[in-house]
Amino acid sequence: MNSGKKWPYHMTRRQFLRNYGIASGAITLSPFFIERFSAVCEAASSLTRVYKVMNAPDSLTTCSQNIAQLWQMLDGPAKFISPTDVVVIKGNAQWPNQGYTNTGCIKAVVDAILAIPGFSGEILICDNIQTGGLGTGNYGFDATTSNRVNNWSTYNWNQLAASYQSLGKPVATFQWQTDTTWRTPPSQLPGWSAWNPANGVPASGTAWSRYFLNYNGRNTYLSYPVFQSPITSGRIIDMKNGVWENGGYSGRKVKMISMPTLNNHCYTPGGAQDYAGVTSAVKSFYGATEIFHGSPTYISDDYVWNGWYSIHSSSFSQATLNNDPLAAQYAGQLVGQFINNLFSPVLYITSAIYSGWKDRTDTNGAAYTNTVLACTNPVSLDYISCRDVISKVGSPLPTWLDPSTKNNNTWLQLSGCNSQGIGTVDPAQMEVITYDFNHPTATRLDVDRKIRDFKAGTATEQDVKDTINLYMESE
Amino acid sequence: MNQKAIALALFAVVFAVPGAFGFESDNSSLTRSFNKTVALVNTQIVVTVNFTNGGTAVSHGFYYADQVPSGLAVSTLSLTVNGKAITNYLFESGQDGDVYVGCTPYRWVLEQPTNFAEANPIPVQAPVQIVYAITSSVSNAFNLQQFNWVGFETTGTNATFGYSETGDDQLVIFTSSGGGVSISGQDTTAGFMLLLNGTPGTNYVIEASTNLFNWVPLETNASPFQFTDLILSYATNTTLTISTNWDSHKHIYVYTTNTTTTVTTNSAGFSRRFYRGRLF
Repeated sequence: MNSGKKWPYHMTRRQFLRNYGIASGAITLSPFFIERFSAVCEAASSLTRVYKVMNAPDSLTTCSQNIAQLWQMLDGPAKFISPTDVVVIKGNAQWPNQGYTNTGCIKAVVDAILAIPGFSGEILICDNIQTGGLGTGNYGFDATTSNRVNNWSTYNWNQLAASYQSLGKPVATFQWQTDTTWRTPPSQLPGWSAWNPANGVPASGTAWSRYFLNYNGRNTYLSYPVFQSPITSGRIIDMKNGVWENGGYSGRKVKMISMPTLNNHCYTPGGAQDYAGVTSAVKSFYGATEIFHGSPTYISDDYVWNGWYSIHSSSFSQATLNNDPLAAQYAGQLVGQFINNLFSPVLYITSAIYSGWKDRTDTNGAAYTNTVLACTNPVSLDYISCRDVISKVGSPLPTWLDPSTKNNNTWLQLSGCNSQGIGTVDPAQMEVITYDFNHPTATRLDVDRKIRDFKAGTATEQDVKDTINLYMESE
Repeated sequence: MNQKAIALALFAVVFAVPGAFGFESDNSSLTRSFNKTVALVNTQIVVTVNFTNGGTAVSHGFYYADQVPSGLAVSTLSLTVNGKAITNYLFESGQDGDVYVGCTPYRWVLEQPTNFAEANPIPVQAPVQIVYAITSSVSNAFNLQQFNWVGFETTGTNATFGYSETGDDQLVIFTSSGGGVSISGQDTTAGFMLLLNGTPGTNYVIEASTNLFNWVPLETNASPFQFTDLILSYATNTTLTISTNWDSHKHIYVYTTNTTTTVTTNSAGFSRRFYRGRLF
């Protein structure tokens, strides 16, 4: 029996009951048990939750039901977003087809945020494509119809934002641009060359606050964008410190929701493991920073800028050049440094409507996995996405994308990030909460929330009974 | 001017506080009571939940959920169905904020769907009693508010449930010592001024007595607050002597007495007064 909730240590609910329910009953007989059982409850409540929704029937058309169900399980966007917030949805834009974040999923997230009562903030769909990719018409922002295979065919991101704006909604895209102007690092490491919004922003609209550190003996820079709002004139969005307007930080908050794809990073035709492994929530931070390639036109991922390495050249490039097998681990560690020192998204939502098990662009190398997942940290999210979704599709199965085997670059990437204190890679410390449209279920948490909503007047008595009935009938 | 601060022992109010459910989808009933509402940190307040199946059929899949303020530890003491202790139930906790901000759900699940293999059905009119303890390692006041129950009648596939209303809220206080409340007394020209200090924001009452047996409330307010016991008849050059005394239960009281022959009374008609402060 399974109500959609996975118990710790891969226990079924029955097993959990047998082990702990009986123990709890024994409390009445032995005070010695009280402390032990209380400890068990504490452990249960500290599990990292990963939410997984799959098989919505509309994913090839409107693509909204998976995300709507995900929000319901997350208890709604208002749990993460306040009505006045500026929301940055950071997608993956660099590659066509399944290589960019599903536009329909982004739309469903935007719709939910706009529906927050009294929402008066902005929603900005952003990424830095690092002057890479395949050129105009091949990015999430501007993908032509022919480059929307394995994606939502109706709109690209710019068209989506335009459709909202035509309705008067505060939604826009913004393509972060690397600032090619070098600034002198601080004398002490780690340290900052922070961008002061009082100075405005460069003509590109994007400035960057840069964080300098020595990583594995390499002088390295990480940076985050400080950019002009495309919606509100004079408003500057500082991803770490909030909104700047009228000469100071206004107190209005900036919240980022990371919405990565789920793809194999491979460049090799036919699909294989490359130096990165998976490209999803952890790797997605490579689009939230600057990777200067040497000039306004692309020179090299390996470019070293006045003796300083980018997140890419400090990890993947340098390790690869030196035949160091730990490139992915270094990448994960630097993302951990980014999250700890620059800024941290409030939520990660992986769009895995299609999963490119061969690579990011090969339209014949992606499977219709019809799944979305969410978590408050990228490590556990990628762990479950890889273990339960992308490594289970394709032929032959891309087992190199399953981190649970602990012998591949995906594992190195995730465990590297985890080594910085981000999330967990221990499945015993995760709780996967699943909803499958092919086998709808409800949990006790769903019931309790529905009762709460009934009390608040936002659900009916029948809604509660329907949820209870679904829970009681859940396998 | 005499001034002496006297710490009064906390008068822990020891009584059960029943809370009846505000809503039931059938004729079932549920009450939640506490054996006390003030306790020392790291000691237990015992909560007793009594449910009676008032439906027309055996209830399956029953669970009770209490949204416990995060920071409190919860442990089960006993669980009986129809007077018989059971052991094969599930006790689970959720996460902070799962349902209500600042609260963690705790659930006692007698049976789990879909086959209810634990075999703990609740017959018609049969009682369920869940007894659990809450403790805190830090001094604080906690408001236990939301709770609910859920059941299922398999014969008619009828879902049943109930939940608490505002009137079921229960404030409990965990305090670091017996001196969770103190009052100090000070003679002023306006009268005898008392200052009460307890858990901030919590309601206390200052009471007066002439014999330590019969107490009259003088002022109820949220801590901290001050109250002046007005002297209605005041003799010239009156000197009030402020003394302390221990009663047989080692409670400390502050009391005043007039050394002149003129009888002075306060608004309650007392000529000699003992004061105490306690939770309201």
